[in-house]
Amino acid sequence: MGRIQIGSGSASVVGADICLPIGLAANEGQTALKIEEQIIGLFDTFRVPIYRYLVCTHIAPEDADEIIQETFLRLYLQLHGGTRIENLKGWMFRVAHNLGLNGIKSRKHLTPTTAEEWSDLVESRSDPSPGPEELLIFKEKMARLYVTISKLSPQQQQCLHLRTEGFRYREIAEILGVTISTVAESLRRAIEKLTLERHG
Amino acid sequence: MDKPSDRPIERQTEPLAQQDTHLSDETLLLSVDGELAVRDVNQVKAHLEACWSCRARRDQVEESIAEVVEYRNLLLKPYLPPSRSGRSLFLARLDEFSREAGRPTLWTRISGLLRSSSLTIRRPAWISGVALVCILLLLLAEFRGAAVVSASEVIARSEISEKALLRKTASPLIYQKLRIRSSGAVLTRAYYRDPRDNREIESESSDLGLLASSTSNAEPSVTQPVPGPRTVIENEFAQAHLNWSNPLAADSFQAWHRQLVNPTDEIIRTDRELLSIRTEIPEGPVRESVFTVRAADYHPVAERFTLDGDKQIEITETAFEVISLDAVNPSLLAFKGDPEKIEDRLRASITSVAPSRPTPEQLTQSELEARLALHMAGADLGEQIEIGRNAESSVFVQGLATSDSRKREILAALQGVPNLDTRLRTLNEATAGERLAEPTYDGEAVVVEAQPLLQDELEQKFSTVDERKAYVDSILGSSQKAMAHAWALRRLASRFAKEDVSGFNAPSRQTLELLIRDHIGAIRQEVGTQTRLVETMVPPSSRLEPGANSRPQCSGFGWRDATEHLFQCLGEIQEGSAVLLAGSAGTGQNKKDLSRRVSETLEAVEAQIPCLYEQVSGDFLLQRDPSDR
Repeated sequence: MGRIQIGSGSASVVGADICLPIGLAANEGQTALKIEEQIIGLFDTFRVPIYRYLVCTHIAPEDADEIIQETFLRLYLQLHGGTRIENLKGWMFRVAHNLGLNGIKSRKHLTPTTAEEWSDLVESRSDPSPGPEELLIFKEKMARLYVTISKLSPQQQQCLHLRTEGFRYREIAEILGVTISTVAESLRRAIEKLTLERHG
Repeated sequence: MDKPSDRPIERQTEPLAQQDTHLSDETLLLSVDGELAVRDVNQVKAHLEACWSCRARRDQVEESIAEVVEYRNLLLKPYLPPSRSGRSLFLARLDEFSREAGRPTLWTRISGLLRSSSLTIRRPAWISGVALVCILLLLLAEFRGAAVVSASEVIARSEISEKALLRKTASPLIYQKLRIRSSGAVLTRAYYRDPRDNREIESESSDLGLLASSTSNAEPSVTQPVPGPRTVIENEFAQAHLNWSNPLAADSFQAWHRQLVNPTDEIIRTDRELLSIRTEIPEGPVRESVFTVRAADYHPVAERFTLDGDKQIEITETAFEVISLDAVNPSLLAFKGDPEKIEDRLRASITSVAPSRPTPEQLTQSELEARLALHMAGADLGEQIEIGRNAESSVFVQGLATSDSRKREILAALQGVPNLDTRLRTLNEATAGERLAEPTYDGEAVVVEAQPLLQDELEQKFSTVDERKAYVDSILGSSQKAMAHAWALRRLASRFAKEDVSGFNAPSRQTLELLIRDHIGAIRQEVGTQTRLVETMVPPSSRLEPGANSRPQCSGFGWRDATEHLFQCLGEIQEGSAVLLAGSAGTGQNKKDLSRRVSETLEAVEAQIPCLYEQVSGDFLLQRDPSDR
């Protein structure tokens, strides 16, 4: 993860932490414009990672887009109101996660819903170059993973996906609103189940 | 939320040095993830170097992680990258948001200043203390409603705001309705004012009944038999040197304010939405005035003048709108001023208008912006609203809004679109005037005539009437929405022919692309909903065999043809669903055949939509349709 430095244009990744020093200009118009530019820069940088996370947590792409927009508009309001946000990336994921969680009952979930459908999906999306045997092995592996991951608790799945996005345990804990020990335990159990399923 | 500590995970087990067994799963995962406490890192490393068993287990953990990543990539593959329309929509929403949010608050500016200063300056504690006290005083002043801008700035902004508003409409006409209260009399005045030619039509009424309806009424009526509220109030205006013909406007207030001797101004923030200039005047007929504007756009909404003898004149705006001059009959507007100069003025106005006529590209962009605004307001799905051109001089949006609030909603969405004339009316307004054209939406209405073909299945599946009703409503509602979006998509296809689009500039093309993709996205969502609902009634065995006709035919026709085909299919689905579930004109139809047909058509549509997405990706408007080749 890098440091997000906000300058006059878009965001850029240069270091280890994230902070947003909002140097408010004396001219209000320029200030508002500067915040807008910052938001657009952040949107371009973090839209895809947040989108990936939301889609992985079974939120339909169009809903994910909506959640992302809402997240960044909230960020705009926060920055416009002068709020200082220490860990921007974590903040955005947390808001997106909560928005996704709030609307989860009313939202359309990503297909597939059964292992068979998943298997068909894998076949249609696989690289056509491998031979039939390799394809079969790949299909079986993905079907097994689908079943195993589907059986994990939502929190375990969320921890896995956030870890895959490169978050450290402390950051995952902040996003999900749990303790670091809970994150560590969730990941341990998830990896244990995945390893166990693979090796019988 | 408790903030988790920054410390690495402390293992709950005894120190590694005291262990003679293998590493726990937890330790292995923490090691792989680099989350071990510093004191444990070297010991775990040493153990792994020594222990084949633990190393093998660590490798298994690594393999599991690799599989998760592989699974995730496969899952995400078809959904990446996110749609371009998402970014465009976000930028539009951000723009709207930033306009609504307005300028940063005083606190924002102070805290921002402090933060930016604290980054570079190390100052002694006493300076910090003084700064803190100043900030607290300023904050106190802010909470008490102290000035954030000067009186002259408020007036200037108010004038700028009105001019900016007028610029947004090609031929603006101000409609303003005021309630004026003085000496116990209440007068309501409504104006239509053409600011360019300084002409107006005015009507007024009072709590004593309608007094007059006149044109160009800067002068009091000499035929008024008995002095009524108008005369009383107008006399008081004259006494206070106030502008009778344009009582509530920034320039009128400024003109009045300039002639005051030694006035004292104070800005009051009465609430979050309003700012007032309170002026105390030591000399003259008016002792105090309060001029109130909306904080968001500085538009004047009220005025109060306290005269000698504690008399008060209160002016309150009850309606304000800038509409197109084309929306009213110009002959109703009478010129003010010297009638002999009317012809000169007309000539001047004609010559001054001619050079500012928008270019065709600007009109196209305006039309597309208007379409996008209507789309965002959900007003392009069959409402009686039409977009067109006024002889290549402006774009019009005309039609009928279901209610006054809906009209305001649509007008708000259209705010800021250049070269636009809006002619929206509510049902009440329309019934008072001419009849509007019949709705152009040609979707068929669902008429319930007989028992649904799937009545038995519905009763079997849903035990109560309410459940059945909810199910049928959901599926028919979803079908109707999909149809409405397909209809809007088809309208776009027919409105913007290939030849038109080839001449579009990049922003126009992007706006059109955004609209097209958004409609397709909405159709996909509704079709998905329908499919899920249909599956609960029509068992998979009676649906299409897997693989049959499920592979989309993505080539051979363009997006316009695909849209037409989609529209037809959705129409069939809507009709079939209505017969099956709502008993609409279903006599003589075979239940099984119809179920199968609806199911098959739905599946075909589902297969077609990804193709349509493919066809509308990239700069598709510039590409030739396959059917052209």
